[in-house]
Amino acid sequence: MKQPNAFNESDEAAKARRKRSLALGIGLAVFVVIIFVVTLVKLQGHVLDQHF
Amino acid sequence: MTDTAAASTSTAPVSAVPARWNDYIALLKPRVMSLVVFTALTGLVCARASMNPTLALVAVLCIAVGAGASGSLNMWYDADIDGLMRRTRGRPIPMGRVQSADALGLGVTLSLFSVMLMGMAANWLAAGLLAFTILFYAVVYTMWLKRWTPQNIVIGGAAGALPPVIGWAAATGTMPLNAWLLFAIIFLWTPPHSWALALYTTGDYAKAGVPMMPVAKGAASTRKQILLYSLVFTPVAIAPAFTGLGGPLYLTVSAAGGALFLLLAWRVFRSRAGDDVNGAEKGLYGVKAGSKDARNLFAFSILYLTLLFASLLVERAIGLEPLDVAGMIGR
Repeated sequence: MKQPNAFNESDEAAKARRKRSLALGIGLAVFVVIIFVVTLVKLQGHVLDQHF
Repeated sequence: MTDTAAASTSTAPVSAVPARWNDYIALLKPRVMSLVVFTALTGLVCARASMNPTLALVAVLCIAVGAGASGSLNMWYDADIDGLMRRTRGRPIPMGRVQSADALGLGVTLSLFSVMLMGMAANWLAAGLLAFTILFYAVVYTMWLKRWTPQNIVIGGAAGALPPVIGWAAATGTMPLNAWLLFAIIFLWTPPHSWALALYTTGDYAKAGVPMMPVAKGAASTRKQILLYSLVFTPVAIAPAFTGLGGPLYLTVSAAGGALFLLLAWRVFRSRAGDDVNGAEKGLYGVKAGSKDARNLFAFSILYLTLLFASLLVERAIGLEPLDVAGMIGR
């Protein structure tokens, strides 16, 4: 077992935590992109529906 | 949560194995998600509505994530009995890799995100149905029916049967009878499918105190009910060919597969499947003497449901029109 780090966790635990945080970050980024794309598609539909 | 679950989670030592990101994926029950996506996509495609492909993709994603959220909530609540059954004791919470509170948090968060996004991308009818499905599975089935009645999977099966209706509602904003016919197919398929499995894993359920039909009413009663449900299920599975939903391919697949389904259900009825509860168990899905027929029905039930929905998708993909039964009668 290696020396615990500042968070009192092993290297293995710290590595796993970093990977979990990365996965969470990617998940949130994907969610934001989906919201953005959905908004664009919805707006596009409404703009095309306008009759001037 | 039960006392056992509370005790097992609150006093659980920090695991020697840290949680990996894929432990959280396992909480979402990816295999169940894939079946949900498949049936929801069928409902969406069968609706024959012109939906923006991006929004359709997001709607299917929402249904998948909602199903995953249900799975996470189920694993949070069932951590105590999951640890007692061989089929489920390798799950992240019983293994101590994920804390049950994390599973609860993941389930609630994904539920909210998926329902909200469904409302934005598709419509609020589909979002409401998705919310109802998640609540029904997590609360009505998991927290109530599963540990209380041998009818648990019969009533709880409604949650697994709703995805095609959600898909249809996402595409059209409506829930016509054909959408509910797809619901009925999965709903009536669930008891013979689940009880066939339960007949050769009875010991596992009994150990966990889950009143599955073979545990509560015995194997003979379960075999009889499998046959009765199969007799009702197979005509319903063929029905879409006569309601403007399925075409000639669907009719062929549903009729031929239905006949085989009935034959296998009859064999289970005539077998001694599930009688050997105290016999030596041969691994997780090992087959005890007399249970081969139950295993055959279980395996074929998965194939049959897959073929039914796949035929509908294939017919849409190759442009095969549904049978015009009314027209045929009129001529």
